[in-house]
Amino acid sequence: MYFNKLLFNHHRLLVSGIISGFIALCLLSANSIAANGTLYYGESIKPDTLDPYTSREMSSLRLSELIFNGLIGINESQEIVPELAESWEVSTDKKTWIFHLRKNVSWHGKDNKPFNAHDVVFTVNLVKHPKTQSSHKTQFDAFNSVLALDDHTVKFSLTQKSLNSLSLFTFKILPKHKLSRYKYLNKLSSFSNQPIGTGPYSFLSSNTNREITLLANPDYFLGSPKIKKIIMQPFSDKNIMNQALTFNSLDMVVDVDPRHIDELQADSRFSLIGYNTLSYSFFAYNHNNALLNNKLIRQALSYAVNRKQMLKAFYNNNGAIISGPFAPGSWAYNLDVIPLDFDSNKAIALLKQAGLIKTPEGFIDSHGKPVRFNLKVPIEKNNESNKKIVLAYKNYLNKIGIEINLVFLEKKSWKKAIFAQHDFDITFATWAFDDASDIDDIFHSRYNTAWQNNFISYNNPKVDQLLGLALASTDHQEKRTINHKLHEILAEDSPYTFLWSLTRFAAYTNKLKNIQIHPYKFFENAHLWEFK
Amino acid sequence: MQKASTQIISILLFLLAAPLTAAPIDEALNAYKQKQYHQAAKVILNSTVNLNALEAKNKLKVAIIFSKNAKLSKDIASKSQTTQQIFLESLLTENDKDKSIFLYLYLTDIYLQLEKYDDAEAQIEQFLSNSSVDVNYKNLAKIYQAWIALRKGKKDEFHTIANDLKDKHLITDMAIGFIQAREKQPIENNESLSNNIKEAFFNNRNVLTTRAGNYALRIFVANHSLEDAREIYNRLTFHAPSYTEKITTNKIINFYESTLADTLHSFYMEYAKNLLHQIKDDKKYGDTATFYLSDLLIFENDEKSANEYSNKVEALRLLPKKQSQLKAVRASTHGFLDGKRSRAYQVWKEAVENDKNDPFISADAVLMCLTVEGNCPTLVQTAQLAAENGKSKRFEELSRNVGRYFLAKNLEDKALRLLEYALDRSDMNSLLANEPILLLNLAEAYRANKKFAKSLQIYFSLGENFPVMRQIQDAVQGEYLFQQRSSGQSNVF
Repeated sequence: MYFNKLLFNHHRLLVSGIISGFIALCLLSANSIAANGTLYYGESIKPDTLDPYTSREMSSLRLSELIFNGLIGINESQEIVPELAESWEVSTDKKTWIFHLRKNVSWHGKDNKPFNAHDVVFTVNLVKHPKTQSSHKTQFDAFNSVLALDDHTVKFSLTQKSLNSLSLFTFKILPKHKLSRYKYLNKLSSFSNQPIGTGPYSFLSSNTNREITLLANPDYFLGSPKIKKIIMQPFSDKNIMNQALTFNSLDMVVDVDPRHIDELQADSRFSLIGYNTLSYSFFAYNHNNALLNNKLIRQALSYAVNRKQMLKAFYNNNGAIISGPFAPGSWAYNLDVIPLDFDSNKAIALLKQAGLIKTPEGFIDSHGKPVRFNLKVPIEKNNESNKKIVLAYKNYLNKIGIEINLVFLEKKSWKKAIFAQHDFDITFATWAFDDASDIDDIFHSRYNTAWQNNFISYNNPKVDQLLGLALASTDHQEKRTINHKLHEILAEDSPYTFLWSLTRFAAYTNKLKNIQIHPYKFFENAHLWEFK
Repeated sequence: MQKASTQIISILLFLLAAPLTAAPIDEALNAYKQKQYHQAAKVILNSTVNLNALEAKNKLKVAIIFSKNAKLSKDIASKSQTTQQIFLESLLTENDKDKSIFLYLYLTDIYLQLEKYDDAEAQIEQFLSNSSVDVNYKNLAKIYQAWIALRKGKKDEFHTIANDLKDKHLITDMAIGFIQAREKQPIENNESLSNNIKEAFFNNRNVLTTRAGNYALRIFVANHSLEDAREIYNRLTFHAPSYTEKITTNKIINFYESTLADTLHSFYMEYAKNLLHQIKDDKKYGDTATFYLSDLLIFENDEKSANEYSNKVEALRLLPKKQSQLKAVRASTHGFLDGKRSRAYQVWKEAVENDKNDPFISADAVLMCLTVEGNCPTLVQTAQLAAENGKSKRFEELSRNVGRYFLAKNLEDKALRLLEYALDRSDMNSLLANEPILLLNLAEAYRANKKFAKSLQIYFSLGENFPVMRQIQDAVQGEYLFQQRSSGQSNVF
């Protein structure tokens, strides 16, 4: 099988075109991959890191879901599932939580070190460390203190009571014995690329192409996994990834390109399953740019873009145009806020109102300089849909007299430019949310430092206030009302041009059974997945 | 009751072959073909077309559009009641400090529709015990008490309560008329009530609230005053709440008319039947019109005309081939409503067993059992196997109907599986290209299985075409927030 994979990689390097691809893939399909109990799945984005904290991508999160556990988990049906904790108690004020941990759980690795309460305390302190680079730190702000009462009991004190306090304990636990020399966590630590967890699969290897191999953990506390290996293969070209699936070189594709849905639906060898409904795409505006800090200009850019036409042309209308910072599948979406219509005249009028001057060559600012923005885009080779979207955006803005300078960056450089340095004017990206639909870390002004999610440096005191109220509210309808207000304000303020929410489809071979796909985390009960 | 889209499209194509005279009907048919049934109806009803003056083929087209909306509205009404009940009950469990007293009133309405009279009584007493309630709402609450009494068979008590009301306004009389219309009773002071409604809303152009619109529409339908009903329909905002309560600056609750979708159902149904009756003796279209009348009568579980229509359906000759194939199943369904249940079960069973490869007739047999609320475990099991094994698009309708059957029997996980099969055998790449009745039931199955985001995503798409769906969306959003347990993570996809 290793030979097969090498052949496949060489093929991609040396030849191009459908015919040669067909031949090579036929060769691959000659050897059944199901027989050796290895599941190959394809991703279009290479995972950055493999620990649960330093990455901000779904491809990393999916892998960490296989490698790590939380104290508890939450399944798709919103049920709390005990993981590393067997049971728990809560004080009447809901601010003190005591967890009783499983005994006989071991960390991956030859030394079989036992998991204990000190790992939990260590994880909280490590992630809370000011220098730890993690966009998931906001969740840890709720912990006032954490204490190991003994090896198998841990006590948390929360800063305040909240609606879903128990959900805070889904955070993944890290091994103290492997990380004790670190005071904080960043992308450069060796652990981030060679992680050790307690989950159903352990990390085995990662090659130069970022193909990652995981090995079943026979001692997994919820039962030994039925598939021996899981191998994640990154594909920069979704066409090739689809071919790999249809020629049996892959068993599963995590995110099917909309162009291939009809073909896979008609192929009885595969199943398609929709997931990740709580996501949306957007163009984000850096508020450190004086022009983009002007609401009128941001609104103008949103009016200038014909989102309906783009959705139809690039995604066959398989999605919904959105009006604000939540996906339509969210409880927080304000249905009374209507998406802005495409209206280039209104866009031009708003730009004039903002003080920009229209010339035959385009808009100029008060100093006579042409209005020009850099649009930085993460571009994986041949990711056609992303390219088309940003090119269409550029054209729409050119039509109203705004110049867009497209800058395609390799994903790592893009992330550094956007999230660490905030060195951009406009960017295009997609957020994916869990059921909480929490936008606090995206729009609150306190989360605008390096590697945090408010990378546009958005600062609106009213939004900050409402986000704080929503977080603290223990009344469901109040929380919903506040989020509806946030939707209204953010739609009006246009920190992003909110685009659309798409249905994502995973495809997998029907040789697999017991497949459960979590709408956010993807892998659910992966230890129960098996080949027929 | 739902028939194959192919069957209906074939009839529409057949009808389209004749030259058209009314442009709105063309526009409506375009919307219909795109499965935007509400839009199709709206185009016709908003136009100046006199429906009674249309030629037979156009009457048939309009009747088909209305009957589709009638059936869908009934299903929406049922989903609305279920979801609103869950949401409002959840709100009742919230802390007492900021509780809305209107929860009791609107829950009363829902319990009444769900025939939970004791629960309804308890809620309305809670509402009335609050001294801050204004006179109109107090009267309304008393009318609900009267309604409960009526449902419990105490006709006199209904009249006593209704007659004892003080400081009555037009809306109070409309509420009484609405209840009488719903209960198929003569509306008291019918003529003056109708005149007062027209005076207030047509001549004086008073603001038509959702509540007033709901009541007026139902009253006009009961009076067979379809043109007046049409005017009310054209002025109603279907997605608007019935009442919005601002409890604090940051806590606002929208309450909806849970009976509105059912009122829409009655309006579309009355219009469709009226048009079909007008052409049932037409030489060319009479048989098709009769088939559709039979379809609507089955949908209403009409026992009175069951015997007559059982024979009529059998005798129909000028039907398109697909409909012709359904005659035996349909005739036996009328028979079921006429008391000949064993015979119907036998016919449906044979249809399912003999129709495994092209499941058009078996899909209809399952639908018939579902529609008349029959109990068909054996035939559904056979149909389920066929649906699970059939991979082509021809099995979409069978999977859909079996899924709907399971949903009606509260077997939510099975229902979801079959409805997902139906979607898998339909168009996954464009959600709105699918039958709204499939999407509605799939969304409800997702909700019942607590897969709220998937449910709301479908409702969001459906809501764009069917504005009355808003009341379900609002309720499911509320339930989702109560049920969700996540911590609040976001990542770059």
